[in-house]
Amino acid sequence: MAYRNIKRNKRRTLLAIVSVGLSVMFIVILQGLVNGMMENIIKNSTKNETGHIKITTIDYSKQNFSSVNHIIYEPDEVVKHILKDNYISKHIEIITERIKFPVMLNNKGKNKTGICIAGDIYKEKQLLMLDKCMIEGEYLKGETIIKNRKKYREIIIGEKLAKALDLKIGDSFSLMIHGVDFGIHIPGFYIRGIFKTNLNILDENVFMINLQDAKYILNTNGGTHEILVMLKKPQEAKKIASYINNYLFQKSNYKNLIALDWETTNGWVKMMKQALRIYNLIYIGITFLGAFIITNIILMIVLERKKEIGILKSMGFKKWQILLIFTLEGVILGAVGSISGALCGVLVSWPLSIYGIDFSSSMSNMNYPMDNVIKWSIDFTNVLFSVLLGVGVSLVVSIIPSRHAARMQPTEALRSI
Amino acid sequence: MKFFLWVAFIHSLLAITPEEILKKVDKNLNFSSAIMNIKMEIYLPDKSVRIKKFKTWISGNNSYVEFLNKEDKHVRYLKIGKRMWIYDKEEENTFLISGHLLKQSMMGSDISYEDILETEQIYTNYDVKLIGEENLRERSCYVILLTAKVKEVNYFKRKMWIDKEQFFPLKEEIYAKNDKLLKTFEYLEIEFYKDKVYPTKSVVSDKLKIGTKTVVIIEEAIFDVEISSYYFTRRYLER
Repeated sequence: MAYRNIKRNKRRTLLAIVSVGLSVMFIVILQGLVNGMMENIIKNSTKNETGHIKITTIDYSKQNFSSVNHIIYEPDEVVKHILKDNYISKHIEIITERIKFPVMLNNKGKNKTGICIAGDIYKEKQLLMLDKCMIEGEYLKGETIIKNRKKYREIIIGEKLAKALDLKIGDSFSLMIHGVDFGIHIPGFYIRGIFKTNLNILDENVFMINLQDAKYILNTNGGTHEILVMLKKPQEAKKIASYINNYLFQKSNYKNLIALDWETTNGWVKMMKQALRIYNLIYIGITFLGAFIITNIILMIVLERKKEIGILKSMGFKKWQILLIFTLEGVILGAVGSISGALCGVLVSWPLSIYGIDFSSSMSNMNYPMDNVIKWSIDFTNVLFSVLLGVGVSLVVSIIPSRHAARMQPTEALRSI
Repeated sequence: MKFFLWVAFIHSLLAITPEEILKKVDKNLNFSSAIMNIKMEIYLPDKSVRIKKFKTWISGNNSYVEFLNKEDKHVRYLKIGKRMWIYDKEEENTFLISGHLLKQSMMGSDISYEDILETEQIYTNYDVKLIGEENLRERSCYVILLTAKVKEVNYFKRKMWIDKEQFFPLKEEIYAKNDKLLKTFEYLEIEFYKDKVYPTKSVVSDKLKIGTKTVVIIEEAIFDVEISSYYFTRRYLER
């Protein structure tokens, strides 16, 4: 009966479907963008900053800045010990050491704070992937350069950082660095290459050196700051980090170490998760706005069909049966609108998930670990959520006018004939 | 009544002014030249004490430093007036410490480079006030407050406790413009050389760090010796 009623006034039905459909389509597109941003931030911040699991000393993990003094000694042994365990090793894709320390760079009277990232130059090809972003010169070769009878360590530097310091390929500069031993070291650096990742956080702040060079100039005695673990399944990071913690704790030498999963350590992810909660509220709000038209339509239908309601009631129809007819009418309108809206949303998001949109102009001054080109991410669970949200909200907004119909007295309804 | 006024007038004529106190302190502390062996103990929370040893040659406002402890043996400092260079022998690199780097701590200690570089007589750049007299470590002291009158000083406000008898600072507190305590210097042990005095043990504590202090001990000192000017050249530093 509800289905037949829908077909009575096709224009009104179409209006309701379009209204719900537009709101659901907008949600699907917005979800695609937000998920795309989230995935992008997770991808960049895990490979550039935290790994899926980061093993450090407990003291280092408590620092807000990268203090050079908290060192994992004999990191090779720690890695070997971890890989000895079959359960852990079967989940690991990459395990590598990294040293990170802040520096004040100056050249030709220009100063800029920067972060030195030192890593295994071969393994970092799969993590930082700076070898794919070289715009001038070459990627690190692991060589020491002799220039004018002076020893230099090779570096690659972010495009914007190089520009701020007026540094070019082949230039050299010195840095005063306090080592782990609080001793002073003044290494000379030679610019081997300039990279551009389109991530401001890297291009504006970072220069990369060979891990062995960092160990030498900081006098770490072979020690490192972090051991980064990339997993085959990132979503298992929490479980595996907890397993690694128990495993390391069994050995007395490693009781000062801690394994932290990316969800715990990654500030960007925490921020985005908070933002997601707000977005969810926005989605609900948009759906209510779109579906509100159903309330009006059902109310109009109820008033138009007072006679029918009266006849049905006289025939012995119960309150809940009348309620069901009108609610079902609203739900059908909502469902058709939601499904068609979701389909349209997927159709719009699909090319955006392939080509993305370039936000470089608006993000040029932002230091987020997010690519300038954002690609949409279509997740079918989220699409299903949008459809269910559309149907659910349509159900809620249909109940109020349907209750009005259900509560109508047969005599009162028949009097309106 | 007239008598008391006369006594007060004579007393004010005889009383020492804070500028005079600081001049006496300067005269007391400044040696024309010195060669010293110094030990620096750096105390950090939850860490074992780090010991740095160095030998320094000082002549007027110039000084040259060579580190003696194993991990810093490659490091040398040269200070000429208000400029300071560091040389790393391992890397064969010289670095001029300037700008923001002057605020950095020297070898992880509580002493900054600008603390070392301060060469001018402080009363020329500060308004000096005698704010009272106190007993400190059983010594009677003048308490002097110095407030910066020019911008080009390291610290805005200083409070000094100066031994009334020896004209030697026993303690100095350093404050920011908002009266936040930044650093304290305490001179715990002193020795005499002719008519002069020098601290053999002092403690510096950077109050912006938690639970740190640096103890500076002069283990050996020779004063008023002839030091070749060659020590205070870049060529000698980078030899």
